[in-house]
Amino acid sequence: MTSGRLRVALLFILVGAVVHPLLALVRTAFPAGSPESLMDAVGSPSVRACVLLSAGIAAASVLGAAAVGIPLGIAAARLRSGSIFKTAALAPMLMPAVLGTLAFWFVFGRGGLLPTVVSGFEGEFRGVGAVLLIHALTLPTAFTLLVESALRRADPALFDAARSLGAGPFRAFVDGTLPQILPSIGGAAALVWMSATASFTAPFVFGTDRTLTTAIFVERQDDPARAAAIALLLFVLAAAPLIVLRRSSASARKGAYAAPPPSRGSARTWLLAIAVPIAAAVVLPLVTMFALSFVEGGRLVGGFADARFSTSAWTTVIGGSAELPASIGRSLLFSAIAVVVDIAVGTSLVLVARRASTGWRRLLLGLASIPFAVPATVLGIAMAEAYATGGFLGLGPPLVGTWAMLPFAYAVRNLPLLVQSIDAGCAMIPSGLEDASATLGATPGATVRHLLIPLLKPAIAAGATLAFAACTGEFVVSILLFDPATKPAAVAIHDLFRTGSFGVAAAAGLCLSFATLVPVLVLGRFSRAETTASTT
Amino acid sequence: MTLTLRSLSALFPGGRGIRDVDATFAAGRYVALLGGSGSGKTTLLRTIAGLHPATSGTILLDARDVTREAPHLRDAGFVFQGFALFPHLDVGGNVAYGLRMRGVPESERAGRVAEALAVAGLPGAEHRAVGALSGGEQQRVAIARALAPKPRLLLLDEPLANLDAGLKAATREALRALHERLGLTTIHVTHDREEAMAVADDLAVLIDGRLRRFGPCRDVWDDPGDADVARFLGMTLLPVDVSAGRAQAPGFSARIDGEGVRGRTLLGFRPIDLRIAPGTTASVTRRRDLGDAIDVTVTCADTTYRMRAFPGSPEAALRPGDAIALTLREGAGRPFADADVP
Repeated sequence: MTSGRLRVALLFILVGAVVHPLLALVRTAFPAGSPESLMDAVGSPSVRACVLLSAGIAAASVLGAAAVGIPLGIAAARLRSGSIFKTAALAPMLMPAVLGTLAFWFVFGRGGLLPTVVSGFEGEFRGVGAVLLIHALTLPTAFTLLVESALRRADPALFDAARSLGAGPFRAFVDGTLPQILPSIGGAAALVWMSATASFTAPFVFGTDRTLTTAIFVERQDDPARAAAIALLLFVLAAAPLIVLRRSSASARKGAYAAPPPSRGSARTWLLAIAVPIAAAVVLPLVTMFALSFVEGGRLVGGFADARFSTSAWTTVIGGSAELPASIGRSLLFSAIAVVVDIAVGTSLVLVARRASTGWRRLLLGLASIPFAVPATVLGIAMAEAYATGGFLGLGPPLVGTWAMLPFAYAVRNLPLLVQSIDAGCAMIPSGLEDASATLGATPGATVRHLLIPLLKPAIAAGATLAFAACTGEFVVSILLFDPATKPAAVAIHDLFRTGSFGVAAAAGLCLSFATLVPVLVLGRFSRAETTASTT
Repeated sequence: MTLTLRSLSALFPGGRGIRDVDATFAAGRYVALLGGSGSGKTTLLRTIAGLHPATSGTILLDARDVTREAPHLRDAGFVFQGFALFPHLDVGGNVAYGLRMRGVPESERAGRVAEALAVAGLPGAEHRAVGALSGGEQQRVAIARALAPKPRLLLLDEPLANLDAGLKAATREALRALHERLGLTTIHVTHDREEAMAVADDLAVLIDGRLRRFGPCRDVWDDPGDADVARFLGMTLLPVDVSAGRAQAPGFSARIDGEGVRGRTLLGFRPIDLRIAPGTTASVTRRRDLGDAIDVTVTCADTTYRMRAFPGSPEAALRPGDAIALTLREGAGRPFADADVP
């Protein structure tokens, strides 16, 4: 296929997979072309309250995640043991979302760790407070990663210049280093805002039914047009800070200036004193959930003294009904299919965009990034609307109710992860290498096969790792689109939790995590692999 | 292989690039393509290789028109300025790449790779990682990679630019020796006059995208053809008044060749050609000892002369404050009658 035809084919795929569902959502929100539903929704006091609550939760979540993520990012960049803090921040991201949320129940909920060890801690772990705490401890990954990366790129000469002019270490950091990492902090804040407004699992599980995401779910039962209208409002609210996500023009540092040495002395002590408790708080829910999965009933209702240790929860998951292992297997299979599709589409897309004109490049990569800007609830509703009556682009039988619905939805939802990772990898390949390949007799196709794909392997593996982890734990899209015959693990675990089978829910969630971890580790090896090969 | 360019233009949006280049690079010649930054020399090389599209004109390799052919179909080896070694392949993999692309059987490849590495001066390096090589070694791998498919035309884009001074001189000699051994038609892009003179048979000078002078090195050096090329090749261009075969300027008088040259004109000469003459109309204002040579600055009224003297010569003894007059070594001055005189 020529690159022109491939370009058109990819555009066709993106229009079908991304634009068509969103148009279906707009059609539902404007029945018979009338904006009545949208106007009703905008004018309704209850919806306005939802918008305010969602915006308030998002704003507070940004502050909370920044308070947790920024110190971890600084510790990751400036301490010799930095990788520990980075791993702690990554842990919530690599766990299935539903598991990361449920884990908090085991720490703060009735019969959880804290009510047991702290006398007088009887508060209900529900409502906005619970959601904010969960967001603060599960969303700081963006802050940690972007701040760490910005600090490693920052020019230490500015810090040294401030010190040489008489500033103390803190003042020199504020005047010399902070301005260099502010764009990254802004970018992370925008990402957290988008995640927090789009957050469904925490409000849904912990009883906040007045956020936009939960309102969509509730309204959808009775009034699909109103649900679609609220979904459009949510899209606007979530995407609002996208303007902040401008690519910072990080100019290469000139001259041979050494990287800043790790922090020492009192700076190191302070950093450790702040970062260690934060890292512990981030991983505590998962550790607690693991521990309580070995306690009868998964709760410490009668305190430690009455706790009976047992492996019954694990036995139920592994040796009980075949339904749980089957749902875990299905989740892994659906995720694998979605990731393979994303690798094929994402790689083709980036390679075609690399050689295309600026207009085509913007169009293709812009369309591919839309699922990243659209909250999962909105995408789920849009797909439910689009594929209830037809298949891809309205052609063929409906996708909803078939086994293909979830892999397809997972692939669309996570395509931006692959595209962004591969595009970043591609940007690192000097165009001179392709020229060299051409002068050595390689056709454009051979250059892709023998040069670009091998060089892109680490980026593809990194994107596939993130996408696979995200797919296996995908809860929002799953609960909106699943068919009872093909129930995925995230929904099955949530059902267990709702019916009070806490221990089994924890064990099943952890089984899903371990099962996810194997392919993630394999892909991780590829992304770090020594790429030099001999092909004489 | 003879390379012929006929009215070749390759323009970027905005009008920069190369225009109307006509030249024949004879088989087996080593040509240095010389020009300043932005003169179009790399664009010309990339256009010959097919990496940049020709806007108009023709490129012939022997009698074959390759103007519209894709790069992989042209029989040209290319050594890139930054070497462009493939980081995912070891040295052997890099050198074998062109052989794989041309479908050379695997059984034959190892021998051809070893041969190319030996020719480039890096025998036995097949299994080394390219990231672990020094700059000079990477350059040799890049040369071996370009030579392995046995091209009939070798294109070198500033091949010495990334090397330090010592390595540069050694590699220059190695390139020349390689050329004498293989006899490939070679085009070597550089902005360094000394490098061009040292390594090439012919010199092609590009200025503002146009080929302004092309010929054997000594001919071009001695007769740049026009004032722009002369200035690029390091000549001083002095406005003089010519009458009765003598050029006059403040503090300066010299006999020149050039029948029919009269009146105001530009006289080109090199700093090494200035000599002390009887008289005290000019004065020495600065002296800089460079070790192998001495730079002397002489001024008279508004005119400043830069003289290069060699230890042991009378000019080397000059000191600031000395009053002198200047003339030229016999036969050294070249008038550019057509140039605009300031």
